[in-house]
Amino acid sequence: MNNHFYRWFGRSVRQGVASKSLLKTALMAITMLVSISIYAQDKTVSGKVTDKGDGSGMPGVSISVKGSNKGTQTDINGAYKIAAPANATLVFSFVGYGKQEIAVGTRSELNVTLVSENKALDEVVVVGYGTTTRKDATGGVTSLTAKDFNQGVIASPEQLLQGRAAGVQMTPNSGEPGSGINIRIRGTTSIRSGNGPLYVVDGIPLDGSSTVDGADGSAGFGGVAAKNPLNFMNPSDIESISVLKDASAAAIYGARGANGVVLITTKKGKSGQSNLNVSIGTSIASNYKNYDVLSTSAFLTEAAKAGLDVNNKLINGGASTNWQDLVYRTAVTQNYNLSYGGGNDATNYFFSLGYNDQQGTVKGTSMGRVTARVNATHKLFDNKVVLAVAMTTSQVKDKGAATGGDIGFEGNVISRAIQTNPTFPVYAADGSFFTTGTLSFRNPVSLLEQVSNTGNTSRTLMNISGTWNITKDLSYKANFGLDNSTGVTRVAVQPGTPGFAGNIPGNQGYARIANRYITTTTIEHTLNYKTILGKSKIDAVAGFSYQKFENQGNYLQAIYFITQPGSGFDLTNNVGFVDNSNTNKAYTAGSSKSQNDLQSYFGRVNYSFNDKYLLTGTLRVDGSSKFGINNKYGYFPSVGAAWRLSNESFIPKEIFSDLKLRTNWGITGNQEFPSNTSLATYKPNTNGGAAEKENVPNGDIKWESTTAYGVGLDFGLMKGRLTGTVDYFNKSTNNLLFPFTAPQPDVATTRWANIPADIRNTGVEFSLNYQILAGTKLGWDASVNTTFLKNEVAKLDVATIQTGNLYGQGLSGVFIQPITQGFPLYGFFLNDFKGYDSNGNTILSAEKSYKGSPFPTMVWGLTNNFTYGAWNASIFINGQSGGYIYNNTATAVLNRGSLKQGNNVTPYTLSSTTGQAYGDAPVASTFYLEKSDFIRISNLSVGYNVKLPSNSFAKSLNISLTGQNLLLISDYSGLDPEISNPSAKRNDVPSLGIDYIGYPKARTFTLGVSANF
Amino acid sequence: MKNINKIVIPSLITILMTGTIGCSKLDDAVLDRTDKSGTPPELQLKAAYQSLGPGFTDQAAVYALTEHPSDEMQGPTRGADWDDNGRWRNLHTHTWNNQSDDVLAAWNNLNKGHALANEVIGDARSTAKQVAEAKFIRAFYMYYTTDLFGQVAFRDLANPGALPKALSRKEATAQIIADLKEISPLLDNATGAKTGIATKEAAAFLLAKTYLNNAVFTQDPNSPAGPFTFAKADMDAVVANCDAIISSGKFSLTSNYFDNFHYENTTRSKELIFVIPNEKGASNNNGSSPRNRYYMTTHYNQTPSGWNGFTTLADFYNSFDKADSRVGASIPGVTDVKGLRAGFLVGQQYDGNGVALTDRSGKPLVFTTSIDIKNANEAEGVRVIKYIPDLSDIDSPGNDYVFFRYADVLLMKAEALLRSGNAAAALTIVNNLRTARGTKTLTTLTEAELLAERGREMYWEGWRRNDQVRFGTFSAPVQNRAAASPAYRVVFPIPQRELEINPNLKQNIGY
Repeated sequence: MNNHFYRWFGRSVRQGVASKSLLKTALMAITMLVSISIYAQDKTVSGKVTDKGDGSGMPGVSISVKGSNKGTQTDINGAYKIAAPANATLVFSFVGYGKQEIAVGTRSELNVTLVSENKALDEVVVVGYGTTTRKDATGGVTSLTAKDFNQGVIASPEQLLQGRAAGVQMTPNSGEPGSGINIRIRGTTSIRSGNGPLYVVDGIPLDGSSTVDGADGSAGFGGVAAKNPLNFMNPSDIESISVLKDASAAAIYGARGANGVVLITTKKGKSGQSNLNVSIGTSIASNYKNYDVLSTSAFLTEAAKAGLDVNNKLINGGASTNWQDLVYRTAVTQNYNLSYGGGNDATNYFFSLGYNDQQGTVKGTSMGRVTARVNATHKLFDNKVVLAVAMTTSQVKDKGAATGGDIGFEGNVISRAIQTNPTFPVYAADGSFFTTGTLSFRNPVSLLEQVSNTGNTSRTLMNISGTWNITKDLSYKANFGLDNSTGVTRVAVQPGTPGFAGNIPGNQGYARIANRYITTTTIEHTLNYKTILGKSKIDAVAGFSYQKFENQGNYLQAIYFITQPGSGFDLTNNVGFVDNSNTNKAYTAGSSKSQNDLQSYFGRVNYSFNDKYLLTGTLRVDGSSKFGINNKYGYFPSVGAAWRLSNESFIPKEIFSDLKLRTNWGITGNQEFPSNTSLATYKPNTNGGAAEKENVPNGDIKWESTTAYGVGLDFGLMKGRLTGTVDYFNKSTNNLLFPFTAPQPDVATTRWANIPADIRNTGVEFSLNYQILAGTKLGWDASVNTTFLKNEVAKLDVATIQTGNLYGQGLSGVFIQPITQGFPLYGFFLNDFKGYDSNGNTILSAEKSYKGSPFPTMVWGLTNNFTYGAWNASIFINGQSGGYIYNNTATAVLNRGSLKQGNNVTPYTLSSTTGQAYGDAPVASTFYLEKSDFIRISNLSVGYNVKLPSNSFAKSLNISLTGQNLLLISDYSGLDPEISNPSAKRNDVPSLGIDYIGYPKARTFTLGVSANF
Repeated sequence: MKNINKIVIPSLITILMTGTIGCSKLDDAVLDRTDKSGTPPELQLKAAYQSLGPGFTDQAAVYALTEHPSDEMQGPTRGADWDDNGRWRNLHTHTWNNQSDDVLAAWNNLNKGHALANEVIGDARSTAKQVAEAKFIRAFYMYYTTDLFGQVAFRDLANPGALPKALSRKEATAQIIADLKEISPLLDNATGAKTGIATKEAAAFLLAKTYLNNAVFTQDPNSPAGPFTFAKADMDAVVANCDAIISSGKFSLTSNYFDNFHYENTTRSKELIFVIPNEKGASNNNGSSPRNRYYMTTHYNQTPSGWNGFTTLADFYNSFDKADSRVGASIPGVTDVKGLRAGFLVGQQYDGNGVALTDRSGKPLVFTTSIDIKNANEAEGVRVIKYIPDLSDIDSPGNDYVFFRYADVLLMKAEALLRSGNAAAALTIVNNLRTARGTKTLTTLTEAELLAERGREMYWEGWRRNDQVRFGTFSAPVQNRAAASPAYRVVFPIPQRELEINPNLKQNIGY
């Protein structure tokens, strides 16, 4: 007996209680049980299942006897035969068709017609300022719901869709919990302005900045990249995510739409069914791969070969230490979620509580999050007025270590764990941390224990809206949103930490406390008009939006601590313990505040005729306080058109259940540049008691604009079992925002300007879903998405713009990604490596030339979902090809010369550089450029719906086991080709595809239990 | 219910809309900075002075251009270290180009200081004295710009938004001289203290320097490396300006040479004419600490623990008579504590207890004179310490950073006399200096001898490239640059980006 029955039974019982008809329900249930299990007397029923649409026989339709595990399928002609008890009810089901339940009664022949539902086509898709259905959508929108989401340890909402949506590429900065992610929707459009999409949560566009300031590099352990600002949301609260990819969809967000828009919709309570969900997950994670550095004995052998004196205690310290084992761990993550939702005709509500404690694989690192969420709607006055409130409040605690990539030659935890001499002990004889005596020497364990970096963010996002249904067709909505976040970053380096003498005055300790407050206020008014006039349907929206973004911060930094090292004293709690006497200036402080306003008017009309011809037009007018006085308002139009060929008589319905041709054109903008760039501003030089003009203002500054067009085709075959989408897109970005050279002499070398350039992104996206097996017992569906992308700097009328900053000793000022006309953004320009000369010195080609792009030409993801009775399984494999990655770790840390300096390297370092002299400087060349192709089993999940006894108070119980990052197939010699050092930039021009001592990625296993009551 | 609809709904809507629809004027509020009205000229003048710190004390940019191409400094690659894409080697081997980091950084630093001075000069609120000091600062920056780049981008302050015009080297030199002559009467007299502000003597020094180089600066740009003809009038002007400084009576040679660079040089030195006045504990934050001068050369295992970078050349080191006090000295409070000596560091290095230091692989730390610029080991190369680190605050010590020094006044005067045919008077001046420095006197004085003497007195102070150009030896081969370099290398190229944005500038001949 399958669990559907229990679920039905349980529900019946509860509803029975509610309707005070327990007895009746119980009797019915007992009758059924008795009829099935005691008086079962089977007879044979046969018949044919046909399609209502064309009358053809339908093969593969599932037929089951309700309340039993008996079932069969129709044959090629739609015929079936099944043995069923006399009083049985047969259930006929087929994907995309309405389910039918028919009591057999006395019949022995039962012919059934199924009606195509095309449910998928009626699925609601959230778009900006409204919703549409799949069949009515004219723009490029990918919408994903819980069943499509990634499973396991998910730190932030966008990770739910990593790899799952065509045209959306995500590259994590590192494997650190909560680290930032590079998200690029249909390519990279901007040189200097932001390239991340706009996030909109339940209609409220978010300010993308982080409240946890990345630590600055002044204490010498490397800048810490800002955390992912979306960490504040509990991924379990998310119902669906829509990605607006093309201009016709994104133009409604005007000056912020150029990089695409991600619309996040949170879970709501459903009328008539209350549900209490409890889910618990526990994960263990360990590094997928570590560097296999030389063992102690191998190190000594190789050191001797390199001409080092292995009898010297600076080469042979006499111990045997596996430094990587000492800094990495098996990390445990715990995740608890509790939610309760329900409602009736007038009121819906949803509450949730989440607790997540994710450890990182570097000891001491973690991200902890507590979230609470409330969603409620209430209808008043005969449903004339709908009030809605939604609120998320969260606290995120980050604990970091010195793992940032913006690091000097002394190194961070990761690089020191790789390269520290394995013969050195952790501690000296007196119990203090071992050091060689060289002042720049850093002990990896001391770095972990003596450098601390914590962040704490509290954020509340709330919105209240009122909708007034003025007439049947016309409604008005007012929406008020408030997004308030406060972040504190606390960083400390203990006094006497080895390797910091050159960074911290007197090496007497360092503490920094930075606070940041970000408030976004949103006010929106929209009018919606929806009507049907004969064969015409009109759905129009017009609105006004005002957003105010306020960002303020302050910090206090202290040095010259008078406490003793090793006292276990938290410096950030005790910044008073400093020597501020005489000329020692122990304290540095600062404060900042900026504000900008965005005022917008927008409208959209969707017109459809005869369900065949669809037209969408949008216009947004955005005005920003940041724009120069001469360019206060920008206009962003778009049009989209679609033709539903499948509703034309000349398209054979038996082949195409759906066929739609779409085309779109539009202009979107990017306005990420600082406030006050159009005004002359003066800044203080606090230490000098002076003030000076700091910028070269530009009164013409405005948004960057992207003009895009595309065509797409949506199709459904095999009665909707096979559906797919093909899209071609072409984006051209002009008026690039860039701090461009200011004519000298002037107080600044650059000024923000819109430079004449054209960044071109063209590509093709495919996605295909195939319901391979649709039986009640065994189900299998597969989906694949593929993106082919070409990025080119089609025009750049200025000298090359340098970026791609390599890090490491001897690599200052080495930039390998000059942005050059005619080549992709961040294209690698390198000398060819031509081997070694007789002295073992590297031979390079005379000139640098283009060697490849960090952008893969093809990115794909393949999902397979299986169900078998109570079991379900899902495997997600993704990959990319055609791109390159530069191994900065090998250039700077794992090189032959490093061994000569007494540092550890890997066997591969030595075998790959056979013939190189130990003193030869490792210079940037094609030697370190590798293909970033990979195939990864990213997600594999197996779940089981536990059969519950009939008296169970739970509705369902699901147990799942999920593995993430299970297998990586790649020729890359580093740890993982899908990573990018965010610090590899120059003048804040971002970079991509440079791997430098990144926080390693983990392989994770999660055991989850979820129960519904 | 219907009635409620009529009352409640409109009220509700009114409440929701109240105060929310009003249009914003989209003012760009300046909240954490100020505008011009909040920034009086005296604060801006201070900022212009302070720009000298980041502009000149870094080991890169202007300083790197003034030293690495000369015969007294080089930056060797040491295994994996200090290759930096050939940045330092390209300077020493005269193979820089118009996109080299230091070329670009020097251009930007000099122009920024120039612009900060312009802000004071062009501000109607500034007093005549403030304008005079700002013009001194602008002349200072223009001197370096015209010396290094052969032309100066110059704004018409009556129309500051217009594209700057390009002053040729000759025009820029004339502008410097005219400005300095104009402002000199408005400046204070030197007092011997407060050497961080523009004084009549500082202006006289810069005038002397400009006249001394006038032959170079007015040379036909098609043959920028000379030979030069030094006009008698220019040399007389050098002598007159030097005499003005000498006769002020505020300056004299400091008996202990390294006191000029000591962390107490504010009081110990009598030679300081124009400096960045540093105070212990504060200076590093202004970017004017001389700490880079020791970090850029000392080994990791020395104190201060440096970056093991730049060295001098063997020939340069060997040009010293070993009795010369300028070749090295032990400094009480430093050498006896941490072992670090002043001057040239050669051979085995020791800590404060006299224990021999080792390199990072445990071998004795012995600085050698021989050096392979492409593939040096940790210990190769003679190091140079001029600024004495204050061990109690290595990063923010009180050493004033020296631009104009009295010894240079004497050497400029001697050179002018020599170039105008009065070798005997020149020899006297040089011998007086040599005596003060504890070395034997010369019997004759040739140009080559004077250049060598300038090297021995002024080494690593940022004058060597300028001196070698003027004496015509800049292009000649030196160690680790085997061939003579083309004449056009005596000036640096205008950065490519600047040419694109300002068509008034034309690239220097040869680039």
